[in-house]
Amino acid sequence: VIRSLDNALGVGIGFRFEIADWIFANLSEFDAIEITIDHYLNGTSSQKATVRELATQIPLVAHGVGLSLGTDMLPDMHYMKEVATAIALLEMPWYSEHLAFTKVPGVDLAQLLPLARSRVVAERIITNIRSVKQHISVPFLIENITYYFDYPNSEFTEVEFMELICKQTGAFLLLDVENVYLNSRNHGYCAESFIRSLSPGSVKAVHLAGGTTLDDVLVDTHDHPVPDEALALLRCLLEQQRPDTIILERDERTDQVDEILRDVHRIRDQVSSFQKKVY
Amino acid sequence: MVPEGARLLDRQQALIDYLRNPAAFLDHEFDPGQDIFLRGLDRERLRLVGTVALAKRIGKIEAVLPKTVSYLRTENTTSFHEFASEHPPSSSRRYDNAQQFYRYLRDRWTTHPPVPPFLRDLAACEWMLAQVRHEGSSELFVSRCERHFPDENIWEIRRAKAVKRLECNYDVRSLLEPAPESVRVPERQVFLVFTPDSSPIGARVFEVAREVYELLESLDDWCSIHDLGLESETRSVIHSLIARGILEVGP
Repeated sequence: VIRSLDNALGVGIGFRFEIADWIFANLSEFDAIEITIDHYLNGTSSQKATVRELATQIPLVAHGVGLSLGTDMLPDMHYMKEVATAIALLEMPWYSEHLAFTKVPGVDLAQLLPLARSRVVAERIITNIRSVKQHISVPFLIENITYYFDYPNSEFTEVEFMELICKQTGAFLLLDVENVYLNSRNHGYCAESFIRSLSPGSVKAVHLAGGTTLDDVLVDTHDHPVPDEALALLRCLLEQQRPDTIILERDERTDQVDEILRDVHRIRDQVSSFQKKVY
Repeated sequence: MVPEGARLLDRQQALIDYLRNPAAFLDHEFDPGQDIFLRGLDRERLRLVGTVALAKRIGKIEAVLPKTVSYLRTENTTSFHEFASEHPPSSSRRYDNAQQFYRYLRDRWTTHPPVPPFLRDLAACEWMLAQVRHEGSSELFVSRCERHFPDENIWEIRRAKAVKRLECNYDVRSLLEPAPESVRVPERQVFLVFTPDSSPIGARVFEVAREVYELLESLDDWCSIHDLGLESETRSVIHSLIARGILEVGP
């Protein structure tokens, strides 16, 4: 049993209410479980009780989808207070969100949209993360997203942009390795170079998932097994980084629990050789 | 070029307005480059993002109104695109999107009757179940209904706050089962009551007699059993309603 997640390379999955019984029955397979904080906040009283029970049995980590960190306005303070309360209640060691925006006043697309990599946008993100950190006492992590379109005239590369924000705010990275893989294929760059250019120690958590292809574009649908290429990138990452957790995300076809468990084992196989490595 | 001094928020607003609206992103005549804030963005990729976002939104609605959406897909009589074009998503939550969609259907069916005709009642029932799950805390609900008072002459009763009522022209209850054994939908007037419960579905539906339905309508506020002047037969119905959590007993 992992007592502390610090640099533990703990393997886990994202909690989904649809497979809660299966997760409870298979807890020994996981070192940590990631809770989507918005699902918890919007859950029924019995769903919240289920998550509180889970917190007594295994370390939980918090992941958000509703903050819209990149929207050009300060985060919703009421929402931040709710998140802070849940994080404290469930004793979660850090809180992650996407480097993206999903909404503007009056319209919530609920789709992660990329941000232009400019100084203006970086300043907005830095301001917003500082605001988040006024409410959240645990470390804050930003996650790279899959982006299907990009903006012209970027002032920074993706790595430069993320590291600038982390340096200015003290945030860490949640590196979604699947997203790096998909973006590298969709936009034609070298995923390994991307991963090797990250500063050592900057990646505190990892996501993996499996997607699908739509109109010749790889799409991050979280509905299929993790591709071998993403697992190879995980090995590449672990040569330089020692994250706390590596979480498998699965949102669709969640009834295929054997497939999910196989993916957990495949990830663990990759991780095991790095468990004793001194960085 | 984006005009100097344009706010980042204006650009974000323009992008979301485009992507949330299938009438825009699926319109081959419309060139996003005409919008100064969208200039330089890959039109095909924007269409992909809009399509993915719309599919997710319909998936959320389907999670709340599964049978209704299934029929709408089969009958192909309602345009999800029309709904999305007219009703921007105001929230990321399943419940809120389903509420928007249900209201859209209800309005649309005033001028375009649904096919099959029982769909109106099916959608209403699924929406009632969703409301009960959303508003009713089953733990609180059960504890309130299990309160015990020794002398029923001093009972005060009222309809439990989480309970919903619905009068239907078709008995669609068989369709609400997770895996219905039959899809027979008799055309008959039914009076239904929806309550929260602790099952995985989180809500139950009962049929009651018209008299009971009307009695429940009158029990918005606490009312003494004694003052109701009920016959002993009706009192036994009251006991049954209390046991099912449809009525609350108060001091």
